[in-house]
This record gives sequence, structure tokens and C-alpha cells, in this order.
Amino acid sequence: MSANTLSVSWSATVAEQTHITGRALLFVMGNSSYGVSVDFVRQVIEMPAVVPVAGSEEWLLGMANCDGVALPLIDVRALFTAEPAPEESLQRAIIIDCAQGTMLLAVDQITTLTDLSATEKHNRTPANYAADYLEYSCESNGVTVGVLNIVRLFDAVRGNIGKRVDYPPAAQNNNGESV
Amino acid sequence: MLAVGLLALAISLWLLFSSAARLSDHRYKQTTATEYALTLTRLASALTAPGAAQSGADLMRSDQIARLVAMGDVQSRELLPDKTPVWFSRSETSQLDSGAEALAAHWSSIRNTLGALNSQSVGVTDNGQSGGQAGTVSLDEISRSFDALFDAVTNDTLSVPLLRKVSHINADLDNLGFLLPLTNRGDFADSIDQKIVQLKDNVDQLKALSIRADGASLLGFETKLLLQTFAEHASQLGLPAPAVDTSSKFLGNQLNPPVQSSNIQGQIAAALNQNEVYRRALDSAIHHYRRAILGALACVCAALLLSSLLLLRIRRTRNASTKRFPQQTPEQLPEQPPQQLSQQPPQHLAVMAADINQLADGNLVNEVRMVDADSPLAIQSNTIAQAVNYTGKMMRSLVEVSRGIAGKTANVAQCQHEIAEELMQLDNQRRQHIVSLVEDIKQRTSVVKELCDLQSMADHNTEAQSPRETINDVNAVMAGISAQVELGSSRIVRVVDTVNELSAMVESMKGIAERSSLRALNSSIQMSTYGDSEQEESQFVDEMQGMSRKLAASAGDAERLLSTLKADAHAAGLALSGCTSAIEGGTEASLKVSQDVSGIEQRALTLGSANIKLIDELTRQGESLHRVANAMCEIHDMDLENDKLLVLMESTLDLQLMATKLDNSLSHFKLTANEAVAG
Repeated sequence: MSANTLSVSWSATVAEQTHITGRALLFVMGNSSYGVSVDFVRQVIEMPAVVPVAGSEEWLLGMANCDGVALPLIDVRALFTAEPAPEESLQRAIIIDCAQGTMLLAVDQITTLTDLSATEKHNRTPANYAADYLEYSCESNGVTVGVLNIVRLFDAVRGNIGKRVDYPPAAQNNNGESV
Repeated sequence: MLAVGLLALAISLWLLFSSAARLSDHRYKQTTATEYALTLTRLASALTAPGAAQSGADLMRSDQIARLVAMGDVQSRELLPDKTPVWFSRSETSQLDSGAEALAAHWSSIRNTLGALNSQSVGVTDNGQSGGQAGTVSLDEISRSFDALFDAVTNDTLSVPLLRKVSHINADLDNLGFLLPLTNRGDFADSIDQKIVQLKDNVDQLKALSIRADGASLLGFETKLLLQTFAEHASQLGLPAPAVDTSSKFLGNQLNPPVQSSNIQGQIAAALNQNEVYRRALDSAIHHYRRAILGALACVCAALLLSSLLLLRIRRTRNASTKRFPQQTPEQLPEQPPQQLSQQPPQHLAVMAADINQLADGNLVNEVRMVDADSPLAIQSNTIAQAVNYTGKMMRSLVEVSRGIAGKTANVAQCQHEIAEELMQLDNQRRQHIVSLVEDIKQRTSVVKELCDLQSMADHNTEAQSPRETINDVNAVMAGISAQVELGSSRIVRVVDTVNELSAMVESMKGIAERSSLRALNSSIQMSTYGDSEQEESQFVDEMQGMSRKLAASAGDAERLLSTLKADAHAAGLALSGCTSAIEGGTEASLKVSQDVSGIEQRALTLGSANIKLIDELTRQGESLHRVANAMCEIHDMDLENDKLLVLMESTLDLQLMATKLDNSLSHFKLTANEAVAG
């Protein structure tokens, strides 16, 4: 637990540096290209096996076992556009580690690791991008890239994760034991 | 007396028949004279008919006159005199002959007068008419009139130039009949003109032939009328045709000058008078003949009465003599055929023997006893009686022998008859046997012919067994192809397996490339996280990603090649499956051919059985022929027996002849004995 706490606090300082340095991991979701600061990326893995969470939002694909730690796997496209991505299109998962916590982002393809500091940032986010969850948008090699704001993303996820779930009462036998 | 009676009878009969013949002849002539008178009367009435005297041509056109003239010709010929019997009176005979000759002379004069009138009335002249159009002429009428003229001329005359000319005219009319319907066509106008000119020439020549005196005398009255009709029709065709002209020159018989019709009436009246005279003479002659016939009948009756009386007397005399010595000549013996004679006992011989016995035992002895025994007559009578007794004994023995021979002959004839019946039966059996054998041989021949046909079919079909080897070769080739196809299929399966393995390897390579790429990415992320230099980081990541891309590209190429290889293998598999289906079809065809060959083999087996039947039939035929040979041998033996029977029949006939001769000898001997007794 202490490592996580330290990591989060350390990540908050690193985020400012990343923001300064501008290196980001670009990936594709549907027809849009997104990026995430490399300071929040711990690892890129293949799509892990998930355990669905009953009563959760649609963008929460489930819980995945990642090095012995259960992490939520988030369908970013469903989170952004309220339209779940096809299951076969999700090929990779990015482990996001920051001060707010750790989670998995399910994406279609990893494009590259590049430096976005020299790119010209858009004053206005394109319409097909979820501006609430973006840090900024820019043009990288002729492609519009929306850089995610990890804090807002965590806030959105945290607001939903951990909600109380009312399960139906379990059936009991005559002795009062649950079946 | 008898000779005189017979002579009188013969003369009376001659007189009777001769008178009857002359009577019938004169009665016929009387009838003919009556008809002749009637003919003359009709001729006179026809010549004096109203309107007939105005024109001779009209008069002579009457067919009635022609028929009357023809009847007069016939009747005058029938009234000509013939030979009269010598016994008839000379005066009456001369009267009849002179009457008949006068009748003939009168008719000849009438005929000449009528002929003169005929020539006068139909004199043929050239009126020189011409004109008319061919189109207005009915060629059918011309043709019909010419046909009648043609028949009449050919019946009337034997003049060759005239007949030839008439034939030419007939041909011209036929040509015109063909050309006239084509008058509208200009091509035939010249031909029609030419034919008309030719017809004109022929008519001119015919006219020249008929104008001459001898030509005119050749044609009869009807022919001249027809010639006139044809001339009238031909004149309408524009031909210079002959025409009737009574007022122009006379071209008939120039020897007979023209006479008036009143002369004919006088001649006819004279002929009628002469005919009346002739009829009277015939009546008197018929009266005389009737008397002669009555006299002859009386003479015949008298001669018959005399002859009957004489014959009665002669018969009485003969009966008296026959009652005492009945005579029989060898010619009067009953004529019986040898077979009948042999079957019946000789009755006449027995009668003869009984007569001789009667003579020997009864009458003669009694007559001899009536005279004196010592007289020479008695001695001679005794000698004769002894001879007669001896002869009677001989006759008895001969009769007995003859009866024995007759009985034996009858037996032999009976046996011969039975043998003949048996021979007939055998002959019928032989014929039936031969007929059945012929039928049997015919049936055998037909069966053999049929079997020969089957054999030829079998020979023809057995030639079809050679394709079986070809079928076996085809089957072997098909089996080889099938094995090759199976081998190819297995190899293609192996290729497909290999391709699948390679695909799996390529997939693993792709996975390795992805993992390598992912690993490089993570390493790059870690380097950047832990603060490594950006240059090394970027070089490492670029190198790793380049390797990953190359590996992925190689894997993609390999996958593409593998997919191509897989498609080729699939196509090869399809081709092999097509080959397999084709091989299956070939196998089915081969199976059908094998079935056909099996059918041919079955037919060959059937034909083999037919051949066996043929051999059996031939064996049966051999047996039949063997039976035929045996039957023929039997027939030969029967023929030999027939020869023996023929010899026996000849012997029987000889015996019959001998019996006949013996019978005749006995008859002759009896006659001799009778003569001796009578002497």
C-alpha cells in the first residue's frame, strides 16, 4: 500500500515534468487518435482477461489481474462517446499509474511514442473529441491527437467506481444458512 | 318278187323326195316372187311420191329407194332359173325358165334406169366457190362429215389413189384441228395458211379422181351424198370443194343415157306383169309336184306292203328251218371278255353238249330204229350214231375240262383281283410314306436353314469379343490414372498440411514481432520514465520497432505466399476431384461395356446351344434319311414283287386266251358235228 501512495505522490511531480517535456504515447480508438503523457504510463500490455463487474457502468469492462493487483479496465471510447467499442477491436491495454491511482485503458492500437512539445496546440478542440477529458489537442505528423487529462479521467472513473451496489438477498434454508 | 318290190320302192322314194324338194323350192320362189312384186310396187309408189318427180336429186336421196333396189337385187338373183328334173314336162320347164329370165331382164333394165338417174342427179362439178373465213367454220362438222365420207369411200372403192388422197385429207383436217384454236397467235398463222393450201390441193386431187368416169363409177350413192355434204362444209373453209349440180355436165355412167322417170314406171309395170306370169307358172308347177308326190306316196305304200308280205314269208320259212337245226356260227357266240369268260362257266358249251347228247341218245336213235337195221341207210345211220356218241363223249370230257379250266381261271382272276387290291393299298401306303418323307425333309431343311442363319449370326457376333481386351486395357489405364490421382491428392493434402503449419509458424512470428514491438515500447517507456537519454531511447525503440516491422512484413509476405500456395493446392485438389469424377465416369462406362460384353457372351452361349440343336437336328435328319433309304429299299422289294405279279398276270392272260381258243375250238367242233349230223 505504501508503494502505491508513494507512487501517486511521486507521479504528481512527474506529471508536471512530463507536461513540460511533452513526451506522450499515441494510440488509436476508433477513428480518433489520442495520446497520454508517458509519465503516467507504466506499461503497455495485451488485452488481459477481465472479470465483469455486476451493476457497473458500460465503459467498465471489468477487473483485470495485473501482476497480482486487480485493476479496473476502462473502455475509454465508451466513456467518451457512450458507445462501447467492439470487443475484437480492443487489442492493447495501457497501465496508467498516477497519484490518483492505477487503472487500465483499453485501446485499439498503439501508434508510437513521440514528443508533442514542438507541436502546435489547437486553440479549440475538434468536435469529435471529448473536450472534457482532454488536456489539449494538437497535430502530430498530420494527425489530430487529443492528449488525455489523466486527473479528470481518474475523477470521472472514481466517481463511479466504488458506488454501492444493492445485490438481491441470498436464499436461505430453514436453519438460516445461505444457499 | 322281192327284188321287184324293192325296185319299185326305191323308185317311188326317189320320186317322192325329188318332188318334195322341187315343191319346196317352188314354194320359196313363189314367196320370193310375191315379195318381188311387193318391192316393185313400193318402188313404183316411191318414184311416184309427191315432190319426188320435181327433182331427181331429191328423188334419189331417198334411202327407201336404195333399200328397195337392194332388195330387188337380192330377189331377182333368187328368182334366176335352175335345172329342172327330166321327168317334168318340157313346156312347163321352159315356161318357168323363160319367166325367170324375163324377170331378170326387166329388173336389169330397171336397175340401169335407176343408175342413170343416180349419175344424172349427183354429177360432180367444180363450182369454183371460194371465200369464207376459217374462224367461222365449225371444223367438227367438217371432220364428222369427212369421217362418214372416209368410211363410205373405203367401203365402196378399192382405188388406191383415191384412198390415199382421202387419208391425206384426213391428216390435213387433223392438223387444222390442232392449229385453228391457236389462230390468235401470230406464230401459227403461216402454218394455218400452209395447211389450208395443202388441204385445198388434196381436195382438188380428190375431186379430180372422183370426176373421172371410172372414179365416179366407183363411188356409190351414199358416198356421193356424203361427198356433197363434205363439200358444203369444206366450201365454208374457203376451199374449192365439189358441189352437186344436176343441170351441168353428166359425169356418171356414160353408157346409160339419161331416161325419164316415167320410163321407170312403165318398166316396173312390165316387170310386175312378168312377175304375175311367172307366179302363175309356179302355181301350175307346184300343182304338178303335189300330184307327183301323192303318186309317189301311193307307190311307196304298195311297195312297202309287198315287201312286208315277202319278208313275213321268208321269216316263216327261216323259223321252220331254225326250229329243227338251230345254227350258231362262231360269230354268233356270246362275245364276252376274257375275264368274264373265265369267271363264268361255259353255258353254251353245256347247251351244245346237251344237244349232242339228245341227238345221240334220243331222236337220232329213234329215227334209226324206225328203219330197217340191214338197210344201208341204217348202217350208215348207226355209224353216224356211233360217231355222234363218240363225239358226245369227247364233248363231255371237253366240257368238263373246260369247266375245270374256267374254275381255275376264275380262281386265278380272283387271286389276281385280290393281289391288285393289295398292290393298290401298298401303292397308296408308299405314296403316303413318300409324301410324309418329303414333308419331313422340307421341315428339316427349313430348320437347317434357320440354324445356318443362327450360325452365321454367331460367327458375326463372336468377332465382337476382341473389344474385351481393349476394355481390359482401358480398365488398366483407368486404374493407373486413378492411382496417380490418389497419389497427387495425398501429396496435395500433405502440401496443405505443410502450408497450415507454415501459417501457424507465421502467426507465431507475427506474435513474436508484436511482442517484440510491445517490449520495445515498454522499454522505451521505462527509459523515458527513469530519465535515460532521449537519443539512446529513440535509437533503441526505432531499432526494435524496425525489426518488429521487418519481421511483421516478412510474416505478411510469408502469409501471402502461403495463401497463394493454399489457393493453388485447393485448385489442384479441385482438378484432382474432377479427374476423380472423370475416372469414375470412365469406370462406369467400362462397367457398361463389360455388361455389354457379358450380354454378347450370353448370346454366344445361346448360339452355342443353337449349334448343339443344329447338330441334333442334323442327327435327326440323318436318321430320317436312313429311314428314307430303308423305305426306298422296301419300295424296291415291292417293285420286284410287282414284277412277279406282272408275270403272274401275263400267265393268267395266257390261260384266258387258251380257254377262249378252246371254247372257239369246241364251237367249231360242234358246228362240224352238226353238219355231219345234217349230212
